[in-house]
Amino acid sequence: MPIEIKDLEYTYSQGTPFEHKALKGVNLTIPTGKVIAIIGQTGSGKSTLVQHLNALIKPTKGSIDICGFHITPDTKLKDVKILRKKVGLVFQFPEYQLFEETIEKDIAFGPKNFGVEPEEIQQRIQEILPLVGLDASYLQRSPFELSGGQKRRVAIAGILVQDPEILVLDEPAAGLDPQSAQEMMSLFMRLNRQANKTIILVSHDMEHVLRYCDEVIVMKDGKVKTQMDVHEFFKYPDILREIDINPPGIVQLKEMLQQNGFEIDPDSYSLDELAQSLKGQVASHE
Amino acid sequence: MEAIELEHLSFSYDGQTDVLKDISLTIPKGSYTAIVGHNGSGKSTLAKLIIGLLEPKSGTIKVLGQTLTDHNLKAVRDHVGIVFQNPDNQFIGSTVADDIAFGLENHCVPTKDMQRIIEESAAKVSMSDYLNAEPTNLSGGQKQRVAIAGILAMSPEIIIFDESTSMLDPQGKASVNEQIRKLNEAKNITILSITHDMEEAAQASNVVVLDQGTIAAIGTPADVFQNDALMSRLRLDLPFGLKAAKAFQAHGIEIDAVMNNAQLVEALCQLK
Repeated sequence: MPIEIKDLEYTYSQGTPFEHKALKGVNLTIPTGKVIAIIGQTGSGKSTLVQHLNALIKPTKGSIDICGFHITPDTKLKDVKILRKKVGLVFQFPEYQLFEETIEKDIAFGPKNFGVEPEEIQQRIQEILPLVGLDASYLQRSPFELSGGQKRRVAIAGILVQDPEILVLDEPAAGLDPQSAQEMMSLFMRLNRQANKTIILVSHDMEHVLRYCDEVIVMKDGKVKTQMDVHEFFKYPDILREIDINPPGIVQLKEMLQQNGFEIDPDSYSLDELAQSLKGQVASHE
Repeated sequence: MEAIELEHLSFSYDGQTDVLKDISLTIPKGSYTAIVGHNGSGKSTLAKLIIGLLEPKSGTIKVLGQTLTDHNLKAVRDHVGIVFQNPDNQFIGSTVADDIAFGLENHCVPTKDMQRIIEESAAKVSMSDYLNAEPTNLSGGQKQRVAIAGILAMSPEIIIFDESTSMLDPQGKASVNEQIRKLNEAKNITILSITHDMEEAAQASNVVVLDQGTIAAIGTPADVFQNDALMSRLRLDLPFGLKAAKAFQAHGIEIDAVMNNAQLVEALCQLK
């Protein structure tokens, strides 16, 4: 079942002088089982939108259908408790939210609060550790001894232990060195390909969006500007410039080549494909 | 006189394992040096030693010709500014102007000169319109630029960037990288930048590669990034332009190993 968002509006501090309309009528169908990127400038409504996905905030107007739940302005929070398990929301720098003495206690905190039996929690932890690239030797250590990238994996394990169907991540690779960032993105790919989780990520990094995502949703001024297949989307780099985001290196290179009179296959997104396009147009060995 | 001279420098946090092992390195005045390497290679430790936040186990550190000691540390620091990684951890003032003024006040700069210095420093990092803004309302890239302005107000001869763009989005990175280049080119400030961003390292005059506390390579970006054996052994990323140039070479297109897209397109045009 896809996620259906209808005429969604959200206003912060309604009825006060600080009133601010963050979402101004969002209509979206988000397919499940895919890796979806949500992009847009700061203040475009990305974060407000994703916080609706597990009813962390409720619509001011409109509705969301997700994981069998129908969320409207009248939805009672006690009725959506289960939704919080089905949709795992990971904020930016989730490692700042670690607090327990050991990694094991930190990961177990969520299911313990949901009343899951200790034996079952243990079993789930054993399943999740290898997924996030940690082993059992970590369990009794303090989360504060770990590197930034490892801490973040512990924080994500704390969400995965609830076995969500949908994982929503806000800038999951921000602040990591390139190698840790790549490991983090591979983790989400594994969760998508092997565990069939829907991955929704808010990202500013177009290299990641091009490399890892299936679909792009562009937010602008509280509305959806466009929703497209990734490869289709990067054929129109002007949409990115309009929202002040740099296209990926390969898209910039293709554009520069075209401006200089080269003929480039619009569907080429790898350097090898690009080289094939260029071969007949420049002097080469063959 | 060199900006920074390190001689046989070693350092250990626990007294057992050396994080830096017998490092000797000279950074000429007015140069732009990028230090790259994986987490744990000793990059940030090096920066902390140079500004005297850590003391070497052995070896000497000379900054602008003076050997660093407890006695001259304060005097030396007047010439060296540092911008750290997390933009949120380096604000003191309640407005951008107050924040830039902080260092000036500590150095007893006369009030009558302050306003001018603040305005000039903010203008250099294109933040003139934000002097009365609250730092918390700025984007990450803007915050780092304010941090740079605070340092510029002290007119240092050397600025160290310790992974200053790693928490920024690509736009923020680009704006700070451009600023760094301008400071080096226009103001002739010596730049030492510890970075994971290979696009930034490619714009430096020299690149130093650290690996497990030793210098694995040193040279121009072209020298270092074209050392295939080293780059693959350390699993370091290449600047995109060079990656593309190498891929094209592999397909028999005869171009030089250039560092960026603009150079690449130019080279291809000449082969038309």
